[in-house]
Amino acid sequence: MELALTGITHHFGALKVLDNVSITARDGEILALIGPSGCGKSTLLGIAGGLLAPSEGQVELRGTRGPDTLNEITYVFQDFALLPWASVRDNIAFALKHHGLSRQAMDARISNALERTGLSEFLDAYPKQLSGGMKQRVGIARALAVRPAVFLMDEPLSALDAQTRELLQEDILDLWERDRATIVYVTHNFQEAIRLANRVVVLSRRPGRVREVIEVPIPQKDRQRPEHQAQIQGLAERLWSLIRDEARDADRELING
Amino acid sequence: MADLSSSASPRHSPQTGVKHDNATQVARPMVFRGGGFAPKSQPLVTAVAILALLAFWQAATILWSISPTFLPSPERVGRSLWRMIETGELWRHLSASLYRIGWGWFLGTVFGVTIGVMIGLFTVARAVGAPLVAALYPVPKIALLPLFILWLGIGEGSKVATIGLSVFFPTVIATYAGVDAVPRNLIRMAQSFNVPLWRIVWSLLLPGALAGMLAGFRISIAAALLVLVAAEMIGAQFGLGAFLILTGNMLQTDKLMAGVVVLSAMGLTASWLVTLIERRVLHWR
Ligand SMILES: Nc1ncnc2c1ncn2[C@@H]1O[C@H](COP(=O)(O)OP(=O)(O)O)[C@@H](O)[C@H]1O
Ligand SMILES: [Mg+2]
Repeated sequence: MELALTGITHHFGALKVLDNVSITARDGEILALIGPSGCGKSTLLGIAGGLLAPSEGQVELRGTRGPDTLNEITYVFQDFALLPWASVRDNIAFALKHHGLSRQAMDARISNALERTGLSEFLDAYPKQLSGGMKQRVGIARALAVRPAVFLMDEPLSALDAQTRELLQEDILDLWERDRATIVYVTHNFQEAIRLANRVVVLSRRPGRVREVIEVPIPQKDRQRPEHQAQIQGLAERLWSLIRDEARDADRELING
Repeated sequence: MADLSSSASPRHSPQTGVKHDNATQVARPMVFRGGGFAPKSQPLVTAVAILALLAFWQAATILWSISPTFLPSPERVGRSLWRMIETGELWRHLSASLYRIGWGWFLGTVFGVTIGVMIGLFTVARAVGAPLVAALYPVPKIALLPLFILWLGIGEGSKVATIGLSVFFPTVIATYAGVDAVPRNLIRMAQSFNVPLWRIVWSLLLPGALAGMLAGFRISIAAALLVLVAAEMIGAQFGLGAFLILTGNMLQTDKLMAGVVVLSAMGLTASWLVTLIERRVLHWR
């Protein structure tokens, strides 16, 4: 499905965080949102998923939903947002229980989601027993279990170390290649954006505006190939030059100032 | 940095670029400077200390022939405790006290948790409830006993109500502090999956607030014991508080101290139960 944000402006009190942002995540694409920290990426994603009412603008979901979709727009959170007192199984069940599924249907969804994220043997583990990467896999499995049409991922790999991040990028791509859900992927890492996204939206510093939308015209699975490296490198440089000054200015700004 | 100790030439600090003319060459072994404080519990040491204290007490009463009315020996206290158990006198008082504190604590906890969750959840409840609780929490609840006697009569009701009230306030505060401590992002997560409110309360806020609530239980149990004894001292025929007043008036110091031992045992048992529950339900921490 397609998620269209039109004319989104948002204020927190006197602080203007987003200024007339219009972007559309097309059906089946990975749309990366990149911008300096504090520019309103999380705010925009909150608005996109109905966790925050924008001061102005609309969010619209278009298209036909799958028959087994329980929760059309589903988040994957930076800090994983797992219930620490619940096992991996119960964490996923928490997102399913209120849908009135039969016991078998629920178990099938849970084991399918765990299988796809390589977590089958961790069914009864508790979050504190899991590494950061495994925790985020649980977060992704929980999202998969409700078969969403749109995934909203807010810096899902920012809390992980570099190697784990690499592994999970591959996993996310593999999962996406299979059923081509729409993904809005917030990151402040331009290499990650170029690795994953079909299009990259560059936001300016606060108040966030769309500065540019950059297309990455190479299929994700081919991006590691040597013959594309020059093009990838060029895109990376272009992106970095776009965010570099913004990032420096944002860095020197007082928080909430 | 690597050549700091090997270079013989006048050195420049890599950070400051300052020349150290009076630098001295050193080579000394590192001494252990401490690794943070980590007091441990040592059951054996505890037991020895307690036994030593009792022995000293016993010896002191004999050596300096202290009057048993002034300070009975541990042995006398133990004996009269045993006699009270045998004759059923202890149970008569203890059962009355357990009845009052049981009901008082239960009711205070049920209402306290309910109101605490509401203050944790709803703006209106917080705006009205939080200042009221803050204003009434410091009032010694025993001061309200006369009022409750007026409203509920001299019987059990007024005592249970006073105990309940003394439990209610710390429970409210512990509960809503516990709810406040549940990460907001978990609640957003639940809402993003359209989890209904009652399940957010039941499966998210209550388990999340449980650690704080259990810590609150320790406080509310101590508060309940305090008010229990005070209320029974003021107006009761049976109960540990009444027993203490009675034995005190008759200078039966050994029985009085036996009563104190029972109170301490009650407190310890309750706190041990809380620990058991904590181990069972907070294993995920
Ligand atoms: N609930 C809030 N109340 C007030 N200010 C907020 C709130 N959430 C975020 N902000 C402010 O809005 C700005 C954008 O925040 P955010 O969307 O989290 O940025 P990003 O995710 O791009 O780093 C920041 O300056 C932040 O301090
Ligand atoms: Mg953010």
